[in-house]
Amino acid sequence: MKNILLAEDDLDFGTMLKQYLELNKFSVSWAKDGNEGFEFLRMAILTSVFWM
Amino acid sequence: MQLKFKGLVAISIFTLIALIGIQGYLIYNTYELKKKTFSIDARMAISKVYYTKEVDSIMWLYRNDFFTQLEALKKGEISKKDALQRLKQKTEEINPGFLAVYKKGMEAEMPGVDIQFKKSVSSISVSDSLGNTDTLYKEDDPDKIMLLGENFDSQNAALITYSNWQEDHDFVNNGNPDFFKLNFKTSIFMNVLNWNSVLTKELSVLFVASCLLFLFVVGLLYYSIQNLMKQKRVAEIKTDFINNITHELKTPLSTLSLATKTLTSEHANGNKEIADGAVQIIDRQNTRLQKLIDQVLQSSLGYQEIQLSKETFNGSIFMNELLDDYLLSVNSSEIKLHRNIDSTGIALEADKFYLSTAIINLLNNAIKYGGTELTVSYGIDKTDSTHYISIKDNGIGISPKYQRFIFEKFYRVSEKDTHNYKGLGLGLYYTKQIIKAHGGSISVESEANKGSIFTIKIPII
Repeated sequence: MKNILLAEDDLDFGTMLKQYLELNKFSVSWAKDGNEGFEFLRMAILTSVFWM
Repeated sequence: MQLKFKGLVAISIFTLIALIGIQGYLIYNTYELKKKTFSIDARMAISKVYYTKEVDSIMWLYRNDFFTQLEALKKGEISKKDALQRLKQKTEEINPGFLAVYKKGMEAEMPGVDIQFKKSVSSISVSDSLGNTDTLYKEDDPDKIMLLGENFDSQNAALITYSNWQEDHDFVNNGNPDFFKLNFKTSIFMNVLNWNSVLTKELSVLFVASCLLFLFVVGLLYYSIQNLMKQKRVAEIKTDFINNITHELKTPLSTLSLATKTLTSEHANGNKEIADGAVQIIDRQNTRLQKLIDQVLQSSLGYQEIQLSKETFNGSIFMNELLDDYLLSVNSSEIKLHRNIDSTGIALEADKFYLSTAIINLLNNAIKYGGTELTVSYGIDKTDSTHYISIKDNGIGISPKYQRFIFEKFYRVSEKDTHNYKGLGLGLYYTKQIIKAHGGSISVESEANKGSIFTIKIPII
């Protein structure tokens, strides 16, 4: 399963996108702000980054 | 754009300086030309006064006397010094008469202009029948001989003309006929005492007109630059607004698009939990879009178009109720709200709905821009007979240079550290329109990083 980092501060849009990607067999790490996003980047090996 | 604007201002200032230079040069040239014209006019006036029979008859008084003295000199009865001394005495005698004629004539020719006249001796020599020349007076003689007029320094005066009186004179010397030839050179000078006042008077209209014209050009330039700056700011604000509204619309629309895709996705088919979640999100985004559109529509109203339904109520109770309701709508554990509500006993006349909207806008802004500790005050300002409502926060504050713009439509402070705050730049504009519709005013006191105090004032009816 491919890992995706999703950085999005809008709660509804983030929820929908995360759910949609997961339905399409992606593993999603959701960062709700920039700092959290950088933390994920430091820790994980990711396939793609959605920085919204 | 910024560079272009600065270039335009620089060119305008340079043009203005060039204009001052050209204007100054032209005025100076006109001054010099006027001076020359005036000098010519003065010479002509002096000629008219000087070359008259009246002046000529005065001059013959010293001329005849001088011949008598020269005869005595030739006969050896007096010395050269005595002859010159006698000439001086004679001219001193006739000078008052000459000056009276001269001043009267000049007053008629050039009224109001004070021009001094001087006729002085340059050299006097006498030649006999054998051609021997005897010089009585030379120009470099330290004892200057002034014939007629006023004695002024010739160095600062203008030379009008030289004249040479040459005459053969026969006389009887010890019973024998004798002869001498007189060569009497003179210089005529004029000295204008009130050059500057005469020319200033003549040029005053031109000078004042030039100054007024220059001030007009400066004013026009200032107005154009101000207008240009205003246009530039409006263009920036509009661009900013379009960018903001695009972003604000794009997020709910993308969410709706994703929700629809999720609901129609084969993976979610039959999953009630996913479907319910998506429907709730669609509902929220729909409300969000509706609010956004309402906000834009409301903001198009100026204070004249706001239809108030005023009622009279107790301001203290209204404020307490409004703050109670507001605290329920926000996460009150993160926000400390202090109340300083006076029981004024004076009724407030306002539209409750619109006034609540204005106050809530200010409270929302206070929290949005970093305020965690808010103090809301209400009372009566006895100095200007108004109800005041002030909202103080400990947020990021507003730099003084932006404060005068914050109530303008679509304006948003665009400093680096405030880019993260979403908004359309309509909240404070709309709040101000509401307060203006109530006949009141809104003001701000703020300092960057130290918080802000917004104060609403509504007149006591």
